Amino acid sequence: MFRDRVNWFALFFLIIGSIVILFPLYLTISVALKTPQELGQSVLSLPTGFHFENFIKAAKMTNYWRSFKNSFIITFGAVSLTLLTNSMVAYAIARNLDKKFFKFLYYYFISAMFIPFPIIMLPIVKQTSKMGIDNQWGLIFLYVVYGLAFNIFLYVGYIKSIPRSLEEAAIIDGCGVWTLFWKIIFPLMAPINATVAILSTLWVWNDFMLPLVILSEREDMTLPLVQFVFQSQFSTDYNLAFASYLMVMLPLIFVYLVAQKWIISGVLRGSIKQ
Amino acid sequence: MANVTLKNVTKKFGDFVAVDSQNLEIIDKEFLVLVGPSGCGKSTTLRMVAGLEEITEGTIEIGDKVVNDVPPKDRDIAMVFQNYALYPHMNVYDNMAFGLKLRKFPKEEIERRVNDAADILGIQPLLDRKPKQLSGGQRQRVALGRAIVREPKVFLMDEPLSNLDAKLRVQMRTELSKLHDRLQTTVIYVTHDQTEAMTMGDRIVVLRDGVIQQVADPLSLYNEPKNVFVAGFIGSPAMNFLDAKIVQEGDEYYIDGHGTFKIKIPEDKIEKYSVKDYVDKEVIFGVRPEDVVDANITHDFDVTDYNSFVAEVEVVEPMGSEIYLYLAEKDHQMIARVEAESKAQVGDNITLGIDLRKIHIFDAETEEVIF
Repeated sequence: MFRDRVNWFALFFLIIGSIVILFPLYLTISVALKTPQELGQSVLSLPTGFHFENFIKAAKMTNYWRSFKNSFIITFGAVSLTLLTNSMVAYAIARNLDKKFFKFLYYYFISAMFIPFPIIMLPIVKQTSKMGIDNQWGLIFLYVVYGLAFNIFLYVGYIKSIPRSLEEAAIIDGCGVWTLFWKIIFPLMAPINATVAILSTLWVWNDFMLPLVILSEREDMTLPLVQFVFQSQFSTDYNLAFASYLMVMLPLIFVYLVAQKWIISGVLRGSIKQ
Repeated sequence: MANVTLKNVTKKFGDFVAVDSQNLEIIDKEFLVLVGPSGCGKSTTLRMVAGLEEITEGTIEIGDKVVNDVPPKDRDIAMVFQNYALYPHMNVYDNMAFGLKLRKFPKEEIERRVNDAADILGIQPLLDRKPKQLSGGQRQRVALGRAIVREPKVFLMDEPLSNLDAKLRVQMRTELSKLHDRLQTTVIYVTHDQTEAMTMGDRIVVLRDGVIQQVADPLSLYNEPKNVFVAGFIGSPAMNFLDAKIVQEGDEYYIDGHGTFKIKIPEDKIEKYSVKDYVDKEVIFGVRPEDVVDANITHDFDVTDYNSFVAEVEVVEPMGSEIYLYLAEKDHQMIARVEAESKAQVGDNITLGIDLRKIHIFDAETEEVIF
């Protein structure tokens, strides 16, 4: 009886999909826990013991905690500012889309999504260094601005689904524009804020190119950057490299576990009018 | 004093005139109902009083103060919305207290007012709940509570009962009327439901295409409609309208339905309403369904050849206490609301009497009432 209901076609793709995702993860974890000798004997075999010293060594070589601090400051700063500013911009646009100027602004920001990064890379490098913001603060600023395109797209769709009568009720209750935004609209945007926060965190935390071209000081470097340096110097020592990758991934996995409910519902809520 | 006065108020959206030169005086403590079909400008009028829409021309006064440029929060009004517009992230207490907190009322005063309003509306046990945990009727009460705690000069209500089911709507209708009696505050109430208008309003304003058709108390509106629109809009089932002509035969005047019926105009109306001026002119004959009676049942007036006609019964709708008869006579269709004891059956040709005291005639060209 039960067998009749198994969708073998779907099951097959599910197994293939799982292998595609799980196999590299298995490799990363097992290699990170092996010694170079074990790795030399067999790449695929399970580690015989847990060599956590790989993590300690990798952390030392990459100056993990300093880079972690840099990545954390940049990610935290960029995501917080993104939420505060992008939501405001989107609110102003979403509630004035009947006006030509705001409609133009909307499409102007959205169009930025289609510009490949390499095209603007050189001007950004020159400009930031000229303005003296080729540092963490400049990086945070750039993330906030570059996030606008996609975030406005998400926010505007969501704000449209918030009934205007709520705002009218708040206006009659005595709200000015700021109170209205912070006390009524912003709290109601919690699901889409969570989505934007998660997507921005993933992007900023993992981003390699922007920090590479902007950050000039070695002590400002983020985790993806130090890994690059690490990999080029010790390209043969895969155990340390993989241990380091895991350490960079860990905070994000934690974020994902905490926020997975929001990720799924948030993405849906952003796209569907309620 | 919280009179609300509209002087030549006009609202245009681009070239479209939503509200056209309205003049209206709403008296202190009055329950005024704005009624009309969709798109007649009733909500726009209310929103202009609230300050949610700018006024294109004219002035609005609340109390003795012109409020055209006064922001909504300073107009001393409270509004109840059709979809309740409760803040979903706040519990009932906070929803009701929000306006007072913004106005920096002392905490004890806020508590007192919210609790008083909650007692009046019977929502005391719900104060900790979020709006999504409430039923439609409970949300409606909270929305009312939010307005009450403000103790405003004027309550504005925009179809507040239209999202409720029929039974709850009837219940809330009575409660709103009681609430008004208790609070003694001016209420401007918008609805498209003429039953709500008739049962709740001290006075009713009938609107059509942004123009006020008639302002009157419910009974005057029902018995003395100013034009075909008001006559047709107020009353359910609606008034019967039949094309006719005024004819003179000797000293007597008749409403001639182009051969299908001939009804004598009572003498007292002829002089009073200058019927003579309309001889041989096209008119619209209007009679309410309850004023068309089954001639087989005795009434307080005699059914004669001059106030009766024969029609075929097409549909019989027994309502329990009364029966609706859908009638046809040549090209004319009409409805009669007759007593439950009527024996009329589908296909019968029955004689129907018309209560001449309650007939209406409208000018076919202007659609204005003659009497």
